[in-house]
Amino acid sequence: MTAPSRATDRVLTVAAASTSLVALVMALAVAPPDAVQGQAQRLMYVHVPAAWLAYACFATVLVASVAYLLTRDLRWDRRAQAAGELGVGMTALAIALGSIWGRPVWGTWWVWDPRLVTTVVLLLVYAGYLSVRGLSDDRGTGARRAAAVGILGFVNVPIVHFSVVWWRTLHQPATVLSPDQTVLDGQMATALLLAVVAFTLAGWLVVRRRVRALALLDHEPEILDSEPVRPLVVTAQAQP
Amino acid sequence: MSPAAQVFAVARREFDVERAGREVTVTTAPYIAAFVVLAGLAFGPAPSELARTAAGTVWLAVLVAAVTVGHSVAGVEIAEQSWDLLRGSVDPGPLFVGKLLAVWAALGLAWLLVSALVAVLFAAPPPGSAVWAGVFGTLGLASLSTALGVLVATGTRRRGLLAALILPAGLPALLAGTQLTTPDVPALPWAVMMALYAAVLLTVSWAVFPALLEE
Amino acid sequence: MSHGATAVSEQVGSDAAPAAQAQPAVLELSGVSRLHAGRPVWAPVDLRVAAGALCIVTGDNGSGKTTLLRLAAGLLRPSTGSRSCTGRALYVRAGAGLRGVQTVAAAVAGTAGLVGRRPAAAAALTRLGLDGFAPRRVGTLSAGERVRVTLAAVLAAEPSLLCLDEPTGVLDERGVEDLLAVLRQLRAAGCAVLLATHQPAAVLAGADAHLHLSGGRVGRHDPVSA
Repeated sequence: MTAPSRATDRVLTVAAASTSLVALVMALAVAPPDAVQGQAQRLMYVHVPAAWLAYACFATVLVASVAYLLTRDLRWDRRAQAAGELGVGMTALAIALGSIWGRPVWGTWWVWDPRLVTTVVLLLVYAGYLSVRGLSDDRGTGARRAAAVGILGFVNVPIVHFSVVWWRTLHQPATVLSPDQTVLDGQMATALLLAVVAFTLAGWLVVRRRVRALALLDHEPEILDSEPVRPLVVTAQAQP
Repeated sequence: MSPAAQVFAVARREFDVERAGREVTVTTAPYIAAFVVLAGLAFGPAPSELARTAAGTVWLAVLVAAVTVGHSVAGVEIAEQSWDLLRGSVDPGPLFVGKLLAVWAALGLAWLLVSALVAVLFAAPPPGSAVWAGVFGTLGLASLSTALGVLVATGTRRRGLLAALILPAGLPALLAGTQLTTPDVPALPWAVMMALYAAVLLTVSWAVFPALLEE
Repeated sequence: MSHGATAVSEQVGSDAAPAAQAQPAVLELSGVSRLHAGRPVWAPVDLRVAAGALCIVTGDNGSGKTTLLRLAAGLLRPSTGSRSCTGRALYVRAGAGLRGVQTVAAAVAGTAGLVGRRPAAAAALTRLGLDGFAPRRVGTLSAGERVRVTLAAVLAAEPSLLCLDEPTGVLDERGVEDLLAVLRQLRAAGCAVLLATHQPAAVLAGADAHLHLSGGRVGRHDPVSA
């Protein structure tokens, strides 16, 4: 690890930790409980940032996958993998928290809301994306397949979303309001913003560290790092 | 040899092999026929319930057919060790299009079979807009099946992943196909969405296909 | 056209002999290696095969013959180095490549058709005396018969580079003669051939170079005798 990347890590750690602390105090102590939903609404301060971070991760997977296919540089593949792993975890967290939040508020664990359906499809697509890496023993082959799925999966997301939106409006519209359609109180908005910043910084740090761990696994044998061995020359030439 | 001639040669080889062995027909047709009969048992026998679930049954069946057909794109070639010779003989683009044409034809026939079975067994004749879904929905799914079928078959493990990859990505085809097959639903927005879905998946599958062929 | 011993007397690491530049190379690998599970299969190799030349590749099980042949045919991407090849390269694992459900006639025609040479299929079968097999399904043939039918398909397809993997193992005397006849005909038409085998004796006589893979290293074998 080079010195600048250690320094960046340290700055990120301090920034993420301090923002998290402030966000935690804001979310639990300063921001008022929701007038309608009560204390359960405080789940928003984790649910929304988790969902935001998941989407940011999947966008990173798309960019890194395209970059990998264009450059064939495994560094891009490692970024895609690290972001994909964090994204899947954050999506699962967002869905689980949303479900726990929805139970007391909506009286049900699940509604067929377009955002929810799209998020679940994202979870399935990117779980598949991570599984594809295990299809082959060859590192480059796995990377190329994963990149293809990373691109195919992401471009499909808007179509998935709109098809569920139209499907939903065709039948009776959702009877419950989606959480962020409520107007947020100033302190709530500040707490939420801080939580989003804290998640983003922490996510960035996690991805950076994971990329380095993956790089160690990928460490290529010395034969490729060192001065190249003078190759054996064989020439086959037909004699007239 | 021009790309079009290569596409024709690949497609012709696919049809010749299918005529000789009936691999796809034998694996897909009984499977989706059983699917429709079992769906009728699960949702019926009340005629109103059957009529309500008919369109969804058609597209669920086409979606699962996309999985079985996807296994035949490269899986059988690799099992018979004919994949290397095929890849060496044809460029990636024509190989994709030739294979895609065969998969599209298979899915189109599967859609026809399912539609006919559902129309009779569920007593629910589809509206005219169902044909649009039959053409473009099967094209979008065929693109997915072709690209992902090659992706999974050229691996050494986890062949069962194909279903896990195709089904979530097939969601728009399922929804748009179901709406276009349901009578009295405004067809235009769904027809646009289905065509868009097919165009996007076709383009992206074609673009990533050469990377999938590399080993 | 006789193919004598040539240009295999360089020492490891020496430059190619000037004579090697005289004929156009169909296949040129420079500094090529391939990683398998993070380890190189063999040390980097430079391989230059001219039109009409035959290069034999030998080595123990797991020494990377198939990897080298598939890489030469463009099916595998090199981990280091570069590959260039003019014209169409085919990798053929002897006895495989045709679909089992098809008849021999249809399978050979379909394979030749992929490269636009469908009409040459029947002549290739006739040439190898395989007309009797034409109506039989490929899947019902014996291992040796399959190799001969595959050779007919390759003969019809007439590639620029043929990477033929292990054709001799299951062949009887007649089959080996057929193999040599096919190789002669292909090479006369300018096809370069890389041939991997465990029984080099049968094919070495006509070879132009011999590459031996062992223990993760590439070695040049003794010069081939004419």
